[in-house]
Formats: sequence, structure tokens, C-alpha cells
Amino acid sequence: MAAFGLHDFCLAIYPGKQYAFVGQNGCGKSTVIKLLTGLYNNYSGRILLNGRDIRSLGAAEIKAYFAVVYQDYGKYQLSVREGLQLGNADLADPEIAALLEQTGLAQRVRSLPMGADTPLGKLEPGSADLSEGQWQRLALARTFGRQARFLVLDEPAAALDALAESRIYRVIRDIGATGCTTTLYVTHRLAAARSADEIIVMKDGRIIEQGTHAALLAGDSYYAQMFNTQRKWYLRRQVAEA
Amino acid sequence: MSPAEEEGFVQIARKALPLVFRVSPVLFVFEYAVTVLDALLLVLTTATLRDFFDHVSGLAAGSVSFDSALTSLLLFALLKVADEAIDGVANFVGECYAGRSNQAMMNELNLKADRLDTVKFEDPEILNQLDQAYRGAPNVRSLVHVLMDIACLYVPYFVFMGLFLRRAEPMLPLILLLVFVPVLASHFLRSRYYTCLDDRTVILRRKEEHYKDCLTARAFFKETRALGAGAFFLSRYSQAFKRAQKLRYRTELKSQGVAMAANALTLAGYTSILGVLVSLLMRGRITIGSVSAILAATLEMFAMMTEILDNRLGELSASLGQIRKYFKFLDLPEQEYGQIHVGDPKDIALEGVSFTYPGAERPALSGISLRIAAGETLAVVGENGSGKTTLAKLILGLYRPDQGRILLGDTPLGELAADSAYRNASCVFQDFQRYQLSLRDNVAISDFARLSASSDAEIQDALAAAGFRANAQQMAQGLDTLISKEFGGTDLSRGEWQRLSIARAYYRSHQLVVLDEPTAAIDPFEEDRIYRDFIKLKKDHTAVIITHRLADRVLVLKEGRIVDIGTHDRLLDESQYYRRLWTAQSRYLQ
Repeated sequence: MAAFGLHDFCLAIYPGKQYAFVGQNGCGKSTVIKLLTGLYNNYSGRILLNGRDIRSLGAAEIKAYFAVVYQDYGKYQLSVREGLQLGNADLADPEIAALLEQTGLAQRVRSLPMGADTPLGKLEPGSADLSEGQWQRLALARTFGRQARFLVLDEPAAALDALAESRIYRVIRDIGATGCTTTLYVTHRLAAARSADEIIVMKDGRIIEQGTHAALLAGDSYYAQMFNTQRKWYLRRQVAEA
Repeated sequence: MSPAEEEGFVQIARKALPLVFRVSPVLFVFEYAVTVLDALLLVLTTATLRDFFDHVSGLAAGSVSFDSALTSLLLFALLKVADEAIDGVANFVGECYAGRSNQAMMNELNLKADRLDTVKFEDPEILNQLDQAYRGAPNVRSLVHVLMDIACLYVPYFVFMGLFLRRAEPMLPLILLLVFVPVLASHFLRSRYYTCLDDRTVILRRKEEHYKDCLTARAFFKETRALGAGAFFLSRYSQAFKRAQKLRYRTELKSQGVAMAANALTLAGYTSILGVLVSLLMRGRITIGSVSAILAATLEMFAMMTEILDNRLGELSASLGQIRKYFKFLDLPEQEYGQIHVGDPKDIALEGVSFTYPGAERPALSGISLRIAAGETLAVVGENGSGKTTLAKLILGLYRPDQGRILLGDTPLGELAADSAYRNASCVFQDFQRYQLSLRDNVAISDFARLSASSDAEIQDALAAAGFRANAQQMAQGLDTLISKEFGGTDLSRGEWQRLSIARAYYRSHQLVVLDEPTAAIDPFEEDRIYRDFIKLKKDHTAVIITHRLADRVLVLKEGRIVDIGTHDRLLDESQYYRRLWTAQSRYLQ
């Protein structure tokens, strides 16, 4: 399964900073996340967390450290409240309300017959279903609610509309601004990567470029090519021509 | 559900019989002809047994020769062996028939589910019914089998035995009847308990399934593990399980109580028969041979009665509710189609269309009027939950509007013939399916009728157009590679799966193509290429794409209503809301 692999992957992640991973499909971005969060152990080399090999850490310790949203976020058929408390059992009403507000779910949840206690999904009569984007927001709200030191997000906005996406990245930037949380996210949308402290460009399981948006865009980089490809869809004239 | 609309046993039987008979009429007739023969042999065995007992007591008294006693023994033995053999044949044929008819019942159910309105699958009530119906399907044949056996085996057997007993003493069959009635009544009562139980446990059962998925299914386990939520779902699972178990336990207790009362009556009946026999013998009204034969026959009759009433009707009464749901599901109103076929690409018009999901409080779309010209590309933009995907499903004819209508040319979608309704449309949904099939089937599933006539090159073309480029190592067996981790095949990344789903849409011959955020998981280079290829391949097809790119016109939705529609340039100049949506993305790319 060469397409999923990583080779000679070296990276130092500093606390309180924001890292964006970009690159083509199958370049190994998601693999980095899976290894980092202790999902797989069958790799060579070492991953150190505060100087300790993560293979030596217990599952509970890793869980306490990382808050992760995977690309296939779970659509747990619970109530909104239970869905959020799944990540942090101590969440009280005001915190839940704040998380829903942050992720733009508040209005939708208010419209549900039993508010945050309405069962979601299709299990029982009286439950309400969410759209793809709303499910993803709920997964994000759950992750933000965990208040973990290390936030790991795999394509956090894939199912979100433009407004929701920029709202989510604002939340991520705000979390970063506190300097207490390290954030690592994988994205295809380079507009989102732009605000990261460090952008890591991957290809075929290796890091090929690394730096800030401005630095990467300055040269004739792979990143610049990607950015320009995506950008031209948004240039008015070219849209009309295409 | 009120008992008034519940179907009676007779009505269910009347529906089940032809359904099971049709599976294989010849085998069906053969099976029950053998059963009738079985009944005949059973009766003959009983008669020869009495004959043999009479001979033996005659032999002791010296009035019967040894040879004739031996002959009657041999006749009895021969009939007994023949009976066992016939019984074996009947069982074998029965097993074969059960397998075939279970398959047929499942098939019937799947086809029915396929003919239902798509929107029904959004309704928990219908999903519960389907779950119960699936459990009922294998029992439909059991029901028919029990009824046919009663008619062909048990009734003839008991009628004959009744006559046989009446010859000895007129009171005996009456006692036998008194034993039957309470047991039969108890079974009808118990079937009510079980139906009620199933209606109450079906939600719990579906919950158990979901919680199990949360723990172990691929879509969940990573996140569940990362959250450390395993214990939570395990406790939810056992909670649902325990609640169901408690309900089952209570029902079982009630049911067994009733069964016990009925069995007490049976025992009383059996004791009375014994008493009657003893008193008849004491008064010299019957021979010792008859007593032995009657005793043997009564024992066998009780065995037969336990078999039919307790075992077979007992099992049936536990599943009668599910069988009822099976037929109720088959009777659900289906998606209605007309007779009209459409050939050439036509304009699509929506006139005052509103749509509300079952059980939802507010409409997902309301008052949508819109015309999409043949060959036009329309982009639909809007926030999550604004109704974009619902609109796509309405245009595809998957959902029918509650109000207003959708026309293809001059024809309302509802009047199109079934094979014409989706025939011309192809789609990629946001939550595309990851079929655990070979690469070839994963593409061709969108147009299976074409598969036999089309070459591998056409499938390869569709894959190439969608930018599917999984490497040779992964696709070791080419198009035959099984794409499934569960079944031991190879797996794809989310992006590759998404391309595969686009290839699926390309492969299907179509005039209308609907893409619902088809590139959410695809990197910018590929996204660019896919859209370019899409425009190239689109030719004169009509397209509805849920995204913000490449359209002749853009439709802006908000909270289920049209905010604006027009070219990108006009909207950018005139629509404040569109400008907000647009700049939310573009400002970071300037």
C-alpha cells in the first residue's frame, strides 16, 4: 500500500502553534494524523511527545492529550447534548450553548422540538436528522469542547459551506491565539491553510516544502502552483471564460 | 397500531399461501402429496398395531395361529418403515422448499423496498417496519407449511383417530376435543403477546445495532476510540439490550403462564382418557389389545399434538407479528409512475415546489419556481441545510414534492414511466456509497444493463475521466480487484472513493447529471482537472452542480427558499448574500 505510506518523515511540532498539512490525495497527510494519535503502531522511527515515545504512552494518556476529528466523522445517533458530552462529560449548558454558537449550529438546534435533547438520526420517532454539513459541525463542536492541548483536524470543513468554513477557521485561529493549544489540520482548501503558522506541503509520503504562506508563495514552489490553481476559480473573468 | 387495522390470521394466510405456492408449484404439490401419504401411513400403522395386539392376545388365548400373528407383526413393521421413509422424503423436500421460498420472500421484500418512495427511508416508523418485515420473511413459509401440514397431515390423522376412538367409546373423542380447544386458544393469546413485544423491542433492536456500529463499524471506531467513548456505547448497548431483555422476560413469563394453564388441561384430559379406558376394561367392554392400541395411539396423538401445537404453532405465534409486518410492508403504497417515455433532452421546470421531510416541523424547501434549460449548467449555492441536496433529489425524481410540480418538458415527473424516470439522470451524492465490490462492478453498478454490452475500455474511460489513478500495486487484479477491506480486498482513500463515485456517474448514460459537492475530498490539481473534464464530457447534457463553480447560472438558496438566480457576475454585483458567500472563500485566495 505504497500510496498510503510515509518515508523519512521528520517534523518538529512546537506547542501553541498552528500547522496546516497540504498536498495531493494519497500523499500521506491522513497517515501522519493516524500515527500521531496512536491509531497505528506498526511504523519504524519514533514519535516523541514532550520527549516521550508515544508508543510508551497509555491509550488514556494519548486520548487526554489529543482531540481529533477524522475525515469520516462519526454520525452518532444521540442527542446533541450527548453527542457533545461524548468528548467531555463535564460540559454544562452554557458551554454547550457556546460550542453550538461557535460552530453555527445554535439556530438549527433551537429549531428542534426538544432542543439539544432531541435525538438525532433515524432511530426513533421524534428524532431529527442533520445535513452532512451539520453533522460535521457537531463533530467539530465535540472536538472543540474537549479543550485538549493538541487539536487535530482532518479536512475539518469538507462538508461545510463557505460561510461555515470561514467561521470554523476563525474559531481555530481564536483557539490558536490563546497560545495554549497546538493545532494541526489537513486541508485541500488552501485558503484555509494560509493562516497557519507553518504550512507543510507533502508529496508521496515526504515533506517537500515547509514554511509560512508568504514564504512559500514567494518562490516557484509546488505550493504556489497549487494555490494558483485553486485561486483562479475565484477570479471573476476566468470563471466566465471557463 | 390499533387492533382494528391489524390483519387477521385468515387474511395473512390468504396472502401467504399463493406467495409460497408460486415459488415452485410442482414441488409444492409434490411435498404435500407426500404429506398426505404420510398421514395415510400413520393411520394404517395405528390400525395394524391394534390388529397386532389383538393377534397377540388371541395367540395367548390359543384362538389365533402363530403365523397370522407373525404376518400382522411384519405388516406393522413394513408400514412403520415405509412411514419413516416417507417422513424423511417429506422433510427433505420441505427443507429444500424452505430455502428456496425464504430466498423468494426476501427477494419480494427487497423489490418492494426498491419500489417505495425514496423519502420513506427518512421515516423511523418505516425503518422499524422494514426491520420487522425482514425478520418476518423467513417465517412466511413456516406459516404456510404449518397450515398445509395441518390440512394434509394432522386433520386427516386426528379425524381418523377420532373415529377409531369413537368405535371403542363415544366419549373419548369428545374428551380429546376438550383438550384441543384450550391449547389452541392459548396459542392465539400468546401470539398477541409476542406481536406486542416485537412492536416494543424493534426500536431497541435498531438502537443495539447502532451502538454496536459506534463501537466497531469502520465509520465510527477511530473517533470512538480517540474519544475513549467505548465504555459509553457499551453501556448504551447493554442498556438497550437489558431493556429489550426485560420486555422479553415479562412476555415470556406471561406466555408461559398461559401455556402452563393450557398444559394442565391437557394433562387432565389425558388422565380422563386413562380413567375411561380402565373403567371400560374393568367392565369388559373392550379387549386388552384395544386398550394397548388405544393407549399407544393416544400417546402418539399427544406427541403429535404437542408437536403441532406447542412446537410448530408455538414458534409461529411468536413470529406472527413479524409476518403481519411483512405483509403490511408489502402493502405500503408505492412510488407511482405514469406511462410516458421521454427521449430528447428537455427543459426542467419547477413550479411552486415545496417539500417537507416526514416528521420534520418545517419544510426543507418552499415555493421553489425555476426553469433549467436543456443543456444548461446550473450551480446551486447556499449554506449547509439550505436545501441544496433536497433540491437535487427532487430534480432527480427521488423525492416527490408535497406542493407544486416538476416538469420534464411538458411532462410532470410523476407521469413518467418507471424505467424512464431516472433513466436519463446520473448523479454523485455528497455521501456517495462505498460498495464492497470489484472495481468493475463499482463503476458499472450505475448502469448495470450496459455492462454485458460494454467493454472494459468504457469502464477504464469513465475511471480516467474521473481522475481515478490508484496505482498498479493496489489494483493488482485490474478491474477485478475487490475494493473492500472487510472482505479482504484492497482499500481506497476517501479521495479515491470520491473519484470512483464520479466515474460511476460518467459511466451511466445520461442527459442530466447532478453533482452534489463532488470534490470535497479531492486536492486542488485534481479538482481543477475533474471540472475541466466535466465540461468537456458534459457536451449538451443538462447539469446541476452543488458548488460554486463553472455554471451558466447560479441559484442561491437560503433556508429552503430561492434568494436569487442569475449569472455569477450579476449576482456578485447585485446580491449581497451571494457576495458574502463568495468572498468568504475568495478573499483568502487573493
